[in-house]
Amino acid sequence: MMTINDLSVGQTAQIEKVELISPYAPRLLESGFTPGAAVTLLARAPLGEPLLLQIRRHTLLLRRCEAQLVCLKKEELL
Amino acid sequence: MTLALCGCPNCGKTTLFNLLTGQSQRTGNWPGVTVQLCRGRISPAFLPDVLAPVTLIDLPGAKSLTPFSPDEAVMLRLLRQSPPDALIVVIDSCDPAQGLYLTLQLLSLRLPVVLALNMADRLQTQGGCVHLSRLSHALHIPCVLISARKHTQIQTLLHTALQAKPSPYPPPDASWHTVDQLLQRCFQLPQSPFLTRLDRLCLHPFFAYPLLLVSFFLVFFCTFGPVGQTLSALLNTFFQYSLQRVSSFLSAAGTPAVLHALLTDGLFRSMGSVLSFLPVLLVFFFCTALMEDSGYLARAAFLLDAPLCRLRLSGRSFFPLVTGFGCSVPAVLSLRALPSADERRCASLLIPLIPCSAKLPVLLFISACCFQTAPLLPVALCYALCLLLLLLTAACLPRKGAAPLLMDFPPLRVPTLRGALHAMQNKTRDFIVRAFTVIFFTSALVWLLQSFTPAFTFTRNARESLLFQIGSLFLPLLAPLGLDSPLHAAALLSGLLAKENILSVLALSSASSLFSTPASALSFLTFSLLYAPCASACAALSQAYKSRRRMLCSVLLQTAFAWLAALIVYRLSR
Repeated sequence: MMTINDLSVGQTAQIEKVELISPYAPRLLESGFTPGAAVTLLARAPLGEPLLLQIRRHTLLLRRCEAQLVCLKKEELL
Repeated sequence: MTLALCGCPNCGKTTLFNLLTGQSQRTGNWPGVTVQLCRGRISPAFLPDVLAPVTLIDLPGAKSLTPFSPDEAVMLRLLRQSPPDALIVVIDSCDPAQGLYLTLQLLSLRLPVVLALNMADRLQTQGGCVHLSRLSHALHIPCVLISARKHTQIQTLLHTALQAKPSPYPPPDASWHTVDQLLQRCFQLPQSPFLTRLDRLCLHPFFAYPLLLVSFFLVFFCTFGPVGQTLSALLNTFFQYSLQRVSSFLSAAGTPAVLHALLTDGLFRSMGSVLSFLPVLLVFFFCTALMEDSGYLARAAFLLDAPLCRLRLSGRSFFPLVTGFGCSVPAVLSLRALPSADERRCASLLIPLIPCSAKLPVLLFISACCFQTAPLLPVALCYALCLLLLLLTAACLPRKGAAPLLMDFPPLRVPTLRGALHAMQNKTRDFIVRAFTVIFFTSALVWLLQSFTPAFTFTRNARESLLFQIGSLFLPLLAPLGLDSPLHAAALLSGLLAKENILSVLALSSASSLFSTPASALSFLTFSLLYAPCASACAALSQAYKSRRRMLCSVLLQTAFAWLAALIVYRLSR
């Protein structure tokens, strides 16, 4: 399954689902990582983490282990 | 009549609050700046035709009604327990998604709500627009497009809020699906470039870290270098001058010797020694406020998250740690915005280990006395030692795992002078209050102890004083560290109340006879840098831990740690 971690800088994709295994998943869902929303990876920090993302024009930072929870639709890479 | 302001972090609530009430609460381009409730009266200039006073409450920012940090819990608690007459929900019209989600959730509380779409000026320059009537129709609440920075449409907003009634219609479904529909139907947002040029530079793989180093070096250079020192020296000269004037006035008036000494040495001199730190602190907080206002701190958090993650902290705790170099109290208080309890606890253990600006004069004084050949070497060594111990402590603390990070990334903007001044004023207010209460009384107390013998007779010889008697009780504890004078113990004891006192007690003895060997001077330095934080920092810590016992534990542990470190330094350097 493709996750936000697999995006390359500048790429946009639609969210398919958020894995609910982590206790952190509700926070992600509250922050707008809902199925159907488009996520863009703006930048990756020089040391690999965190990721700078844009979702619904909102810019935020996320670590790899949280980004791992967000699965993307592969066929709809924009 | 009570109105409440709420909204996401960093949407401009506090700017609006300051504008409406004429107060100067701190604002910043950094989420979580408002960490407690602020209340104020709306100034009558905005409501010329309303006679009754209108109170405004500024709630801390929250992203949703599900509270994830203590900050966010404050908002929900207030809205449940004492609901205001109307709620003004502020959202950023350039970045409305999260704000709309919060608005939808707030509508379910069935309070009268007005939506204020802030930052209209920025939306206009970016070429976007909002269909206010459509939005208002969809949400069944009045919506006003305002700009708190440019003061546009503020009166309209207030009048709408005063007339607001709970909407008779059932609120729309509070889901992100509704938000997406609203965004599509009511907003025309410009296609913004992904990253601006300046951002590309700030986040550049090669240039970002040097830029970060240079900017923080500049802050520290300004603060502890020429600017802060010059201002400090000026203030000190002023105090010396006025001390002379007061002293000669008192002598001319024929005041008794005890009263004369109390007023000049006891109160005036200690006040002066405390207030001379003020310029350093002011410059430090001014510089950090500029950084905060510009949004650069979020870039710093982005760059430093990975190294801090190794210590199981996150990029968000970077700023509180830096603030610790100025004063531990605002540093510990700013931890409240961190969402993870684990990270808050860990950072509040680390902050007291950072040498605050009040410890620097002690450092400088002792190294100037005892290491005339290279006075700056011990200072650098002590800072290095502190940072080393900080890293060691962070690595040893037991924790569950890395603190998660989900942080907003505000756009870069030109910082405003007024914002920086407000921030500076707010952070130093606490210090000034402390200077005139705690430090004032404790220095009077220290003076009393050092100028009276155990038989309560006035003495000018410090060696006969009560302070020395009390200090000598602690000598057995300090003897292994090479500290043999009751003066050392007395200085450290009075430093528990405020670190500034250490210097004023040490100044009682002549510089040359202060320490018997350089090794004992070094061990004193180490101990005084690392031992228990001052009384006000302890109070802030016990607030952060929400338990006095835990605070006492951490303070005692830290003192034991300092004792051990000083012992090692003494043994090694002897």
